[in-house]
Order: sequence, then C-alpha cells, then structure tokens
Amino acid sequence: MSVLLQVKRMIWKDLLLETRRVSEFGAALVFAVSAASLIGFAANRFAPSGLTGTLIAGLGLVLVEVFLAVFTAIMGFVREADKGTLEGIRSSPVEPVAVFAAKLVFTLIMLEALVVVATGAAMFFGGATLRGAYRLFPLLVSAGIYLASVSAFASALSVYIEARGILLPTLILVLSAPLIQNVIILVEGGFYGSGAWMLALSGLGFMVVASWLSRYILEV
Amino acid sequence: MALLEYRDVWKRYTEARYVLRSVNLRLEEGSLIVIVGPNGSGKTTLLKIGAGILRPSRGEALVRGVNARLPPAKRWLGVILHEPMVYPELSIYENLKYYAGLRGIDEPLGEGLAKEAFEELGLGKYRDRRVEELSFGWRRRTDIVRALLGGPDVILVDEPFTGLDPEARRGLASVLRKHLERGGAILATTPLGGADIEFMVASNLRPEVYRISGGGLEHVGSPTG
Repeated sequence: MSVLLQVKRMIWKDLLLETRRVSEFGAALVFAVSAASLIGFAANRFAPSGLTGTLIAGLGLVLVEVFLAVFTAIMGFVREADKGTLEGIRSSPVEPVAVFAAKLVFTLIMLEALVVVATGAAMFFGGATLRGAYRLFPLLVSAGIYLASVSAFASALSVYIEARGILLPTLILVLSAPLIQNVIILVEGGFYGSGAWMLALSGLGFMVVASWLSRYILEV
Repeated sequence: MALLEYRDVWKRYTEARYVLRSVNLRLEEGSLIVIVGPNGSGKTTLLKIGAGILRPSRGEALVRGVNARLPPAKRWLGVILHEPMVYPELSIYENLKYYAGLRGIDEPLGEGLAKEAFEELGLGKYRDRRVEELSFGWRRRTDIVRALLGGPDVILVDEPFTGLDPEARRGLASVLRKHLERGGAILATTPLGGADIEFMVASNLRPEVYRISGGGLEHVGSPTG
C-alpha cells in the first residue's frame, strides 16, 4: 500500500477530529486573536507611521506563532498518547516516518490557519498602521514551516516523558531560538519579503532532519 | 516456521531492573498461549514487544520470521491492549474504516473475521454512534473488531474478557475459537487469580498456560489436561 495514501488518511483523520474537538482548536483561535489584537493595538500606539509598526507587528506575530506551536504540539503526538491511540497507529503496518510526516503536515495546516486569522486580527485592530500587514505573509508562512517542524518534533520527543507539561514549551522555545533571532535581524533591516525564502529553506531543512530522526524517536 | 516467536527477549525501562529476562516462546498455528502473572510482572510488556510497539533491550520478536517492529510483520498481527485504541470522537464505523485504511483495506466489514466479530459482538446497532457516547464495554468490543481487520495470523490480547458482559464474552470466545480453527494463534495475558482461564476452558478453548515471574516464563501446562 502506498505510504502517501496512509499519510493522507492520517491527516484527514486528524482534521476530522479537529472539527469535532471544537474546544481545543477554539482555545487556540481565541489565543491567536487576543494576542494579535494586542499586537495591533501596541503597534498602532507606539509606531503609528506605518512601516515601523508593521515590522514590530511582524516580530510579535512570529512570537505568537511560537506560542501556537505549543498548542499544536499538544494537538499532535501528545494527545494521541493521552488517548491511547498512538499505540493503535504503532501497531498498524505504517512506517514511523509516515506517522511523523502526517502529524507534521497536520501541524503545518493548523499553524498556518491560525497565523492567517492572527494576521487578520492584527490588521483589524492595528487600524491604518497595519493595513499593509498582509506583506508579512511570506515571513509568517516561512516561520510557520519551521515552527510546524519544531512543534511536531517536540511533540514526538516528549510523548513518553512524564514531565512533558514543562518540557514541551521549553523545548519549543529552545528549538525556535535560531528562528526568532533571524526574524529579529530581518526586521531590524526593514525586511518585508524576499529573505523569507531563506527562512522557508531552513524550515524545510529542519523538516527533513526531524523526519529522519522520527524513526528513532517514536520507538521506545 | 512459528507464527510468532520470542528469541531471548530482554527488556528494561531503567538501568536498575529487567522486566523481562531471556524470554523464549513460540506460537504455532492453532496455539493459544496464556501468560499469567501479577500486576507489574511484565505481561503487557511482553505483549507489546510481540506487537512491535516496544523495542526489546536484547533479543527479538519475529512474526513469520520477520522482525515484529517492521510494517510487513504488523500486517499479520492483531493487537488488543487493556485500553481501547479507538478515537472517542469518531463513530464505530469511522474508527474501523480509518484503521482498515492503514492496512490498505477499503471496506472494513467486507469479509473475514472482523465482519464476523462485528456481528457476534452486536456492534451493528451502534455502527454510526460516536465511541465517546458508548460505555467501556462497547469501546472494548469496537477495539476487538479493529484488531481483527485484515484477518491477522496472530492475535495478541491483554486480559481478553475484562470489561465485557457475558454476551460479549461468549461472542469473543466464539471469534477466538474460529480464529484458532482456521490456523491462527493467540497470545493472551491474564492477572494472577483471574477467571479468564476457567472461562476459556468452559468455552472449549484449550489454553497452554505460562507463569511469568522475575521476568522469566515458566510453563505451567494445560488446564484441560
């Protein structure tokens, strides 16, 4: 059987579950909108001149994405383990890398959807200052690729560890540190678009490494 | 070639203690082996290693000669653990369809032992009900059918009759009997003093009993003589 078909089935199952677990995705959504609206408000107050406000908002939204990566990590392997269904998958004839890939794509979809909503909220609450915030999309989407990999990886890594409640956010922040650092540098230089490809590339690189490691991580 | 074989299997979770020590066991066609032991004796660990879910610290578990951790071996295995491995938010049928899909089967109840178990266990009336709306006993029944998707050669089952009412117990015993008659094998565990073995004997299943203690297996015999 095709591995891609298995991956597709696992992603579809996760998306279906998300539509039925309204409270969890809803909580992430409320967080994204609340945080983004505060960013919009702050950008409007401190830098009403447009460009600077937009850049500050960009950095703020990336930080919101880091927080959201913790949410999506909990929605990933951690929740499967809590429900006992991870062993159901692991007792099925599926390669560990396919299991990881499915979770990664699901995490990416969740994260990017939340980022779109958060950016919309920031634009709405940021008023005239953030009207051009849509130009941040390449930065936010690229950061999303990196953070989805980090989120799925951290989720898989901490799934069998009892202290994962503390470990998970710590792990995500530590693994996201290089990304945040790069975003700060890009923002400082008045970055808008093209440099995002480098971020996307590093995200894809991390994705490949994490997928390769997953075969060792998901076995105990 | 044995359907399932444990070759010098050792397992430890921490440096301090081995849960399993040099376990050797063979399941041939038509054999039903029951592992008896107190809580924490390593019964479930043994089962999970055979299911390819856990990696042994030393030794290996083979299914038809293939390492149990590899996907091809898992096609021949049906695993039922104590906690049902079904998604509460999905209906019984959606759960079965999903797990069947992972095995490359389009219609979970098309034919075979899973279909027979679905009928024997009376799941038809709740087919489209979400699992979260059902009691533990019905989740367990769903999980049993899930494990039988694709007609596995070996069924690994942790405390098979726990959480089931008498009707479901009879249904499960009937399914297990059919599986053995068709040349399949079963590895089951039960706690010390549990009534599972008596029930198996009463249901015309002929278990071969092993006791697990100190991480090793000791052959006890067959209660049917």
